[in-house]
Amino acid sequence: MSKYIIRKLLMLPVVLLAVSFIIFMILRFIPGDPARLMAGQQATQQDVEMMRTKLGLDENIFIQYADFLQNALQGDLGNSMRSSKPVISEIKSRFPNTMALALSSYTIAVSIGIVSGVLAAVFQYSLFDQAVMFMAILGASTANFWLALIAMNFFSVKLGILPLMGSGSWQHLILPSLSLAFYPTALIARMSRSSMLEIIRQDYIRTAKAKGLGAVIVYCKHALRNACIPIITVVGLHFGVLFGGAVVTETVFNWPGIGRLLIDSVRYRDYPLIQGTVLLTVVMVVLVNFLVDIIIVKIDPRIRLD
Amino acid sequence: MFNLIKKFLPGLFSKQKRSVLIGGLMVLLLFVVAVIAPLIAPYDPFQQDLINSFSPPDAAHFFGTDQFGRDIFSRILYGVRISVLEIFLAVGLSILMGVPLGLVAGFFGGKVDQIIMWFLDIIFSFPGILLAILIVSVLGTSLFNMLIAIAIFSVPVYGRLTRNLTLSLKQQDYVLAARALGASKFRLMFKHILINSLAPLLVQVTLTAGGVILSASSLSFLGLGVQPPTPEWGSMIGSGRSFIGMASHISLFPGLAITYTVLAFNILGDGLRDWLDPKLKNRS
Amino acid sequence: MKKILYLALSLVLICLLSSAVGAESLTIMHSEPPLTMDPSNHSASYTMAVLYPMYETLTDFNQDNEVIPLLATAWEASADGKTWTYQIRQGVKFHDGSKLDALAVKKSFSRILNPDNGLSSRSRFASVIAKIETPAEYTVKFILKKPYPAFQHLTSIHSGSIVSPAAIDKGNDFLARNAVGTGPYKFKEWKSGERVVMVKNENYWGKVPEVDQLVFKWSSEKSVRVMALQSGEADIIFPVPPAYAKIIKNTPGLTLMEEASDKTEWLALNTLNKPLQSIKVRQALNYATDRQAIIQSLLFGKGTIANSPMGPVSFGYDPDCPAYPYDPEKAKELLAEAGYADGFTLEIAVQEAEANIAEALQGMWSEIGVKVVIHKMEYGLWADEVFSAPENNKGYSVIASWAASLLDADGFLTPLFHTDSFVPASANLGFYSNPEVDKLLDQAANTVDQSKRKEFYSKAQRIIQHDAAHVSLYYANSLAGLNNKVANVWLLSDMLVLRHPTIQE
Repeated sequence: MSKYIIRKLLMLPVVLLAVSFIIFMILRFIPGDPARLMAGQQATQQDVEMMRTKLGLDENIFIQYADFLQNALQGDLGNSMRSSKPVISEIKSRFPNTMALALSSYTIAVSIGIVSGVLAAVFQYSLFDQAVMFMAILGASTANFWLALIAMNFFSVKLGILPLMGSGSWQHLILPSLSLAFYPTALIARMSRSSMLEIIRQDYIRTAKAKGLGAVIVYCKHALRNACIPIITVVGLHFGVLFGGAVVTETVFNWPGIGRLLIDSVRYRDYPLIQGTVLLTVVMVVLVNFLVDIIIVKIDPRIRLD
Repeated sequence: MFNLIKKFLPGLFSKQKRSVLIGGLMVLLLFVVAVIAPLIAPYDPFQQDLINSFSPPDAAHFFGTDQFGRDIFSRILYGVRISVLEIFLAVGLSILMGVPLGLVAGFFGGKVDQIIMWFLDIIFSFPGILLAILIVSVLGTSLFNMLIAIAIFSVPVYGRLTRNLTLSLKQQDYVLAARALGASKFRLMFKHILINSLAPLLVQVTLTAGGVILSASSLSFLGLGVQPPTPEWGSMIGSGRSFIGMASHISLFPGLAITYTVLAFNILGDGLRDWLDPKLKNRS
Repeated sequence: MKKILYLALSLVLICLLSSAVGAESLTIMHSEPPLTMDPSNHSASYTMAVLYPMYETLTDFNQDNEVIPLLATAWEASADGKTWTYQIRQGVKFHDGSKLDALAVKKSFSRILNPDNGLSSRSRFASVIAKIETPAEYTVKFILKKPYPAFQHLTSIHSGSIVSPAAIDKGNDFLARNAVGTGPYKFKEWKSGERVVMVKNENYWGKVPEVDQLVFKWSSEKSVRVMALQSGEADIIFPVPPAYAKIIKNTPGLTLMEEASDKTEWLALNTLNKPLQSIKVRQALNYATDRQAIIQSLLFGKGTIANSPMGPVSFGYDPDCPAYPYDPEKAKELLAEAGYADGFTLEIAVQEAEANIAEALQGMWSEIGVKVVIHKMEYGLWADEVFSAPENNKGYSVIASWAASLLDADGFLTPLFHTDSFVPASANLGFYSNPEVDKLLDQAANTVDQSKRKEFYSKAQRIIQHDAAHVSLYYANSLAGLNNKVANVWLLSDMLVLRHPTIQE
C-alpha cells in the first residue's frame, strides 16, 4: 500500500509535465486565433498581426513551450492574455470560491443521497422508496439552469430572503450549492439504494429483516461497508465534476469560480489561463481518486493495488 | 409505518414483474411515437408562425408555441426519434469504451492499472468544451461526432466504476474458486466479474440517460450536433433558457419529456434486474 | 423559538446590509465583463461603459452626438485641415496626483501610436496623426498625415482617453489592470469574474459626483439581469433582453429606457457561393425577408427596419435610402430570371446568440425555395471561418452586427464594403466589390466639406443597397432597465453612458 502511495505521488509531476505538453500543443492546434479574438471583430489584419506579436504567438511553438516550462518550474504560469494578471493569482482568487461551492453541495449530496438511498432500500417498494426514486429521476433529468432560475425567481425576487447572485456571505452559497447538489444527490441516492439492495438480499440480512426493523439497523453498519465501493467511487468521481464542471451553476449565479474562468478563457483562447486551470484540475482529480483508492482498500482489506 | 401505508395503497409497483411490464410499456410508447410521429403530430414541426410565437399552452397548442410560433407538442413528438437515438448511441459508446478498460485495469492491476487510470484521470480533467472543439476541428460537426464527444466525457466514469468493482470482486471467494478451477482470464472477467458489477453499472446508465440530452444541449453552441430547425429535446430546452419567467413553458415540456424517458428506462431497468437476479428467484 | 430568532436576526442583517449599500452606491449590471482596464486596447462597448466614469477624452459627445469640450477647452483646425490645435484645461489632476498638461496629453497619444505597445486602437490614430507638438504648457498641436475633416470626433472617442503619465511609466500590464484617469470616479478594484468598483474622486475638476460608489457587475444570463433589477440587486441593467421589456415597463418602480442604436444587424451574402454572385438572387433574398415579422417576434417590436447598409445614428446615414419591401412574389420572379427558379442552397455561419435570426430566415426563405443550412459556431471557430481569405473560405454567408464607434459612415461602409477590405484585411465578409463604391468611399474619406461627404456616402449607400451586398435586417433599439431612483444616465447608440449619475429619493 505504502509503495502504491509513494509511486503515485512520484508519478504526479511526470504526468503534469506530459499533460502540460499535450494541452499546450492541443491549444495551438484547435481553431480560434487569440490575437483575432482579443483584437475584436472590427480589428484590421494589421491590428491582429500586432496583437499576435505582442502575445508572443509568432514564435516557434517549441520555443514557446520551452519558455513556458522554464517559467513554470519557477512557479510562474505566465499572465492571462486577456486581463494581463498572473495566471496563478487569477486561479488563486477563484479557487476558494470553487472549493466552497463544491464542498457545500458535496456535503448535501453525500449526506442526503446516502441516507435516503439506504432507507429506500430498507423499505423497498414502500411509498418512501418510490418518492425517493422519483425525486432521483427528476434530479437526473432536470436541466440545471432551469431549476436554478426558478429557485432564484422564487427565493430572491418573490420572497426576497436570499441573495440572487454573487458571492461574499454564506447566504450567497445556499441557492447555488442546492441547485448544484441536485444531480449528484440523485445519483448517490440511486447508487446507495441499489448497492444496499444487493446486500440486503443476501440471506442473513433477509432473516434479520423478517425479525424486525431493529435488526436491520444493526446490520446496516455491516451491510453498508460492502455496499460502499460503488457509492464511494461515484462520490469521488463527482467531486471532479463539481470542481470543474459547475459551469452552468457558476454562470447563472455569477459565482466567481474555476468553471466560469475556464469557459471565459476558452472563449478568447486565453492559452496560459486555460493551461493553468487544466493543470489544477488534473491535480485535484488525481488526488481525489487517489483518496478513493485508499478508502477502498481500508474498507475491503483484500483489495490490493500494487 | 411504511409497510402500513403500502398495504393500503394499490401495489402498482410492488412486484418486479409489474415493473418490467410498466417500464416496458413506457419504453414501447417511445418507440411507437418515434415511428408514427408524422401521423399523430397535430402540426408540421417546422412550420413557423411568427405572429403566434410564445403562446402559452391552450386547446390549439397543448404545450404552447415556441419563439418561432412552432407547435411544441409536435416538435416533442418528432424529437423522440433523434433524442432516444442520442441516448442509445452515447451511452452505448461510453460503455463500450469504459467498461473493458475498467475490467482490464482492475483485473490485471499493477502497472496496467496505473497506466489506464492515469489516462482516465487526464481525460476526466480535460475540459469538456476543449475536447468538443478538438473533435469539431478534427472530425467535423456531425451528430455522431457530438455523441462521440459526450461518450468520451463519461468513459472515465464507467471505467473507474468498473475498475473499483473489479478490484473488490476479483477477491471474492467464488471468483478465486473459479480461478483455482482454471477458468480463463477472459471468462473470469466477463462471466464472473462483469455480471456481478451489472447492478451499479445499470444505475449509472439509466441515470445518465437524461444527462446525455442535457449535455447535447450545452454543446450545441459549438455547432456540434443537430442544427436548427431539427426538433431535438436538448436544443429545445436550451432555446427556452432566455425566456424563463416570461415563457417558461418553452423549456418545461421538453424537460418533462426527458423526465418521462429517464423514468421509463429506470423502471424497466430496475424491473429487469430484479427479475433476472438469480438471488431473487425464490422470492415471491 | 431559537430558529425564528436566528431567522429574524439574519433578515435584519440582510436588510441593514442592503440599505447601507443602496444609499450611496449604484450597481450597474451588463451582459459582458470588461475585457481590460486599458481604454486604448479594446473596442467593446461594455468595457467602454465601465471605463467611462474614470477616463476622459479631450473632447466628448453630448447626448445629441455633438462634440463638446472636456479636457480640452477649445480647438481649431488650420485652413488645410492638417493641423489641429487644442487648448488643454488647466488645474486638472489625475487620480494619482499627476498634473494634466500638454506633455501628459502627448505622452498619452504617443503610447497609442508606438507600435511596440501593440494597442488595438493604434491603427485608427496612426493612420491619421503624423506628429504631436507641445508649443506651450497647455497647448497641443496634432499634425495630420492628410486632411481629416472630423478630427474632433477622433479626439472624442473613448480609445483616445488621456492616461496618467506616471501610470504609463508603470507599463501596459499595469494599465490593463488599473485605471488612472481624470474622471469623476477613481478606480478601486477589479475582482475578476465579480465586479469593478470605483469611488468618487473628491478632487474632480468639475462638479464632485453625488453618488459615492459605482459597482459594475455582469451576467450573460438574460433572465438573471432582469431578476437582479427586480430584486434591487442592480439599479441599472443593460442591455434588457427585448423579451422582458414589457415586464420591466409594467413593474412599478422600474423604468425602461429605449434609444435608437447605430448597431445594424445584417447577413453578409458571400459571393464565393455561386448563386450569390447574381445581383438578382441577392435582391430576391432581400425581397423574401419579412423584416417587420422578425422585429415583432425576435425583438418584440423594439427595433426598426434597416433601410441602409449602415447605422442610423452615424454621420452620413441616408434616411431616404429605399428599404426592400416584403414581396415574396417579386423574389420568386427575380430568382427565376436569374435561373434559380428551383432555388439553391445557402449556408450561414452564425454564433449562438444570433442563431435565432438564421432560423427565422430559414423559415422565410424556404417559401421561395432557398434552402438555408445553418452552421452554429462557437466564437473562435466562427471567427476563424468568417475571417479566412478567399482561398480558404468555405463561402458561408455570415450573420453579424456592426456599430461604428466613431459614429461616422467611414467606420461603417469602408470596412464592410470596400474592395480593399476583403477579409482578412478588414470586414468585407462577402467579398462584395464594386469599383464605383470604392471610388465614392475614397473620395469621401479625402474630403473636408461635410455636406459633400454626406453626398458621397448617400450615393454609396444607395448603390450598395441596390446591389444587395447584405441583407440588411434591422436596427435593434438599445434597451436599459433602471430603478426609478437613478437619474442622469443615458444611452448613446449601443453604450450605456454614465459619468455623473444621481440618486433621487
